[in-house]
Amino acid sequence: MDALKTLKTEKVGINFGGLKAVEKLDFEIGDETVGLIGPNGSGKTTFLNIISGIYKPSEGRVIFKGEELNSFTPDAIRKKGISRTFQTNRLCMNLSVIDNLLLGLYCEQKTSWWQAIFNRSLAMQEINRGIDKCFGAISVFNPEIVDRAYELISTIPLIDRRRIEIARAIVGRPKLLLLDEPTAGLNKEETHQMIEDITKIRDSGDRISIIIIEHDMSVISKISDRVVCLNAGQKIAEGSFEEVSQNENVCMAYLGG
Amino acid sequence: MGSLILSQVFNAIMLACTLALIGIGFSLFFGVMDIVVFCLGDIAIASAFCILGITSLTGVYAALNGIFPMVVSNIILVICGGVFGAILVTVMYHTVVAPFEGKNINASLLSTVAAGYVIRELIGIFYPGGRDPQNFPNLLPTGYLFNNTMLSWRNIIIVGTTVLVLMLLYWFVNRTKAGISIQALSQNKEASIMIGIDWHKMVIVTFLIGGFLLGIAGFLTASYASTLRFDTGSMYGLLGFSVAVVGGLGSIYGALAGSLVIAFVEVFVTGFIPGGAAYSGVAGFLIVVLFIIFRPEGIIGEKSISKV
Amino acid sequence: MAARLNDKITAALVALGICLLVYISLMSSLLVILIIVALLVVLLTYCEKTGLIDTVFQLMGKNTTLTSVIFGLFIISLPFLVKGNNDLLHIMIIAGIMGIVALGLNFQIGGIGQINFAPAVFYGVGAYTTAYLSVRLGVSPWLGTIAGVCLATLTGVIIGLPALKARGYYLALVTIALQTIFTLMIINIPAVGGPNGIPGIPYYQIFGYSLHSRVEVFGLTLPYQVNYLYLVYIVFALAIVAASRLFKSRYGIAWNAVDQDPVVAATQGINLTSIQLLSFCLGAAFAGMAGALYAHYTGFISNENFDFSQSLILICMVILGGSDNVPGVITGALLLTMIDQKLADYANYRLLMYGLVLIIILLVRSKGLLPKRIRIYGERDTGMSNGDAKLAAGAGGKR
Repeated sequence: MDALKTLKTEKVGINFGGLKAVEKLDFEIGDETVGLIGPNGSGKTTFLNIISGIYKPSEGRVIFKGEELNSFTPDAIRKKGISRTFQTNRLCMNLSVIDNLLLGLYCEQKTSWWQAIFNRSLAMQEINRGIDKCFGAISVFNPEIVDRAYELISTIPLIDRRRIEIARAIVGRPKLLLLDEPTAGLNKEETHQMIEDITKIRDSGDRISIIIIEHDMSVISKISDRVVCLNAGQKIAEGSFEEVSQNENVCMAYLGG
Repeated sequence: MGSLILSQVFNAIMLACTLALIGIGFSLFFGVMDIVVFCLGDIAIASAFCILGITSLTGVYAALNGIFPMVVSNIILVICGGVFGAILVTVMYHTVVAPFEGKNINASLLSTVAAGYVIRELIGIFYPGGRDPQNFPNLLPTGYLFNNTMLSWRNIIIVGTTVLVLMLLYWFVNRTKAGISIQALSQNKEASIMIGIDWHKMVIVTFLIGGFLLGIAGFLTASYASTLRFDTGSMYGLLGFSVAVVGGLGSIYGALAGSLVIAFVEVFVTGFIPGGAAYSGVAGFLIVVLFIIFRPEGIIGEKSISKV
Repeated sequence: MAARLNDKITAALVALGICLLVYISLMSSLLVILIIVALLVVLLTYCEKTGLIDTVFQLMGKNTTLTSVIFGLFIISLPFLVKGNNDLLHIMIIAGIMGIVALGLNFQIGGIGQINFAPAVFYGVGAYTTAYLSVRLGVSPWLGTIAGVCLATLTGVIIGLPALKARGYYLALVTIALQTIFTLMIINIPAVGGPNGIPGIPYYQIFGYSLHSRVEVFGLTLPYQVNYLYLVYIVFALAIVAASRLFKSRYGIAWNAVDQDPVVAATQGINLTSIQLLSFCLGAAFAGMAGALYAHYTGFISNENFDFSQSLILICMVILGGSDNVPGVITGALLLTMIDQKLADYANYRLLMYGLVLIIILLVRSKGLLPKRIRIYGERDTGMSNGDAKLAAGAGGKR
């Protein structure tokens, strides 16, 4: 059964000095897109941080393709095939667009430091292949970004920064993609474009599982196959969007009942 | 053996007294501004040079002694040192700290280290014979209490001054509005500013008080060593920062605890390990490095949860 | 075609201009150097305002072979240009050695954005190791040099390990403390000469030919510095190549990412431990190599060559020139070494000058004379790559 599921968590929890941000959370994701919803402070981002290894869970297990990830560092988890984006668009401002994208390929590139120094042709080949891949990934969203590849991130508009961040996360072809509020700060039209972009990833044919955190229910309803609702660190509802949106607990949680 | 240990303990306390004040200086500035001002040691030594300068101006010193009794004129001298320290720190704030506020910490780090060098070299160049070791005048009374060689008046006054300054500082931090504001700032800057604490004013107050502390610290350490060298500032500052880190950066009581730890380690390495005198500095710094690796929050500091 | 030829000629002219500037500043007095620096700053600001600087850098980047040949010829002909003046050659040698250390230090300051206040420790470990081995144990200087580099790299691990835990102020404290410990140790250990240093370090020999012998070419007797000039600049050239290749490799990008945001870097699969240790170890290896060269060049080392002020000078070079920019670091090293050596008459003011230079550069131009540049890969600069990139984009879009 485990083999079918991409990621599975068993009673995962984490404490911050007495505050239980996530508590006994059972979660599964297969070859699908799961929307993670819940009011502010319900532990959604913390849950992603646990999966991506930034926080160590204080209890329970995180299992990815039958392998326990609890003791892994973030970089090891990325190498296993879990990549993520951040809520506050975290690109490296001191790097150009293409360098940011190349960062996403870091763990699949093989050049060692001595090859980088002594075997220039090999290193250049790999970089050039990488650049092609990155351009391929970003032009799915917006081909115009390719023309601005050698500009600093600070000159790029927000929607394109989000696209670059998502492209950075998928360019290394992960098995599981974690999107943390991809439409935060975008206007209505941009949100619509973002939904299309994420749909493109979902339907790209690479078997990729996506967990998406969103406050905008229109995004969730269009993208996700299944929805999980968290409140105060616990799972309160699970199912299709219609089921969850009609669930009493969910309404209570959002209205603060 | 017992008296040896006792005398070493006393030595360690003396050393801790000379370190505590500068450590508190580091903690105060870090608490309020989140910036480590690396040139504090040099400022302390410069203040000591200021006192030395006044005493070597024969006319002034004689006039002072003519007007006031010896004790009063010496206290005035020490206060002069403190005021000089306060002025110097304020100047440093405006030239090498304030321009880098809110930027990458590396800039303020480098600029304050460089400022330390500038102060040191200025003393070396412009103080007459500044590059040679200077005899620090014996402003404190000589002689011994109970004819005990450990309890010289000088040592007792150094410890006494430190305790007095600490008590004043305690009173200031816990009983005055400015002191409570400073405490609030070092615990939560945003919230404090939000409830109406004037941050810029508090920074100036902190710098004045910290500078005054440094002046006194410089005087104490120079009196303790009885000699003054222009280039001891970097070492002194480094020890002061170490003390603050070992105790927990930003905590005043931590600096006190840290100074005791560092002083005891250094004195005991010097006293009980054969040939250890040369390595006392090494031992002290090793302790700091170990603290940074295994307990970066220090003795008193609380472990903070880093927010991602 | 004509455009490319034009490009080549322009690049060659720029390279020659740089050589000329170096030559003039080498020959002239301190005042002239300062005037040149002032003019250079004006020129730079003008070029930046008009965007000319990007063109120049692009040209130089495209014609690296040509420009490096010109620089190489300049160094080869330098002894003849200065008519065998050993003082001037000495300045250039020291500049080369400092340049190597500064390039290594730049891996930490420019790369991972951590200020290492102990580059002189790496430099000193390299020098002391080879000096100790060759003087006390009679090991060949070449083997000693290799041992020096290895031991310096090991020191890099020792200093790099606390750096994994400590950042910013804490790292500054750790590195300053280690620098102080190092100075205390070499003063107090009699085996390495204590405060007297190690005199009589043997010179390098190549197949029985000592590099410490005069050279006679075309009837001109050149001092022994010529041999060392060539040796040092060969190593320096290798260091420059290595540093610029690393800058453009995935490691350069990863270092910058760690500097900017360690959490993001880790979630991109970058192992923070190994990437930061790499930066420290490579920097240490560079510095160790330079230290060994210095020891076998001067024949005498003492603790004063490797104390905290030396570290400050090295940091000053990197910051003044422009951190994370190889040409910038080289500029900083050459410039400050020349000024430093010409300041010999005012030795009293040396460290004061470094302190003031550092503060002023941080206040006025915190990114250095030649700020960091965006990486351009191969021929794919913005102007030419559009076609290729669109093609690639099309191919990617189909999958």
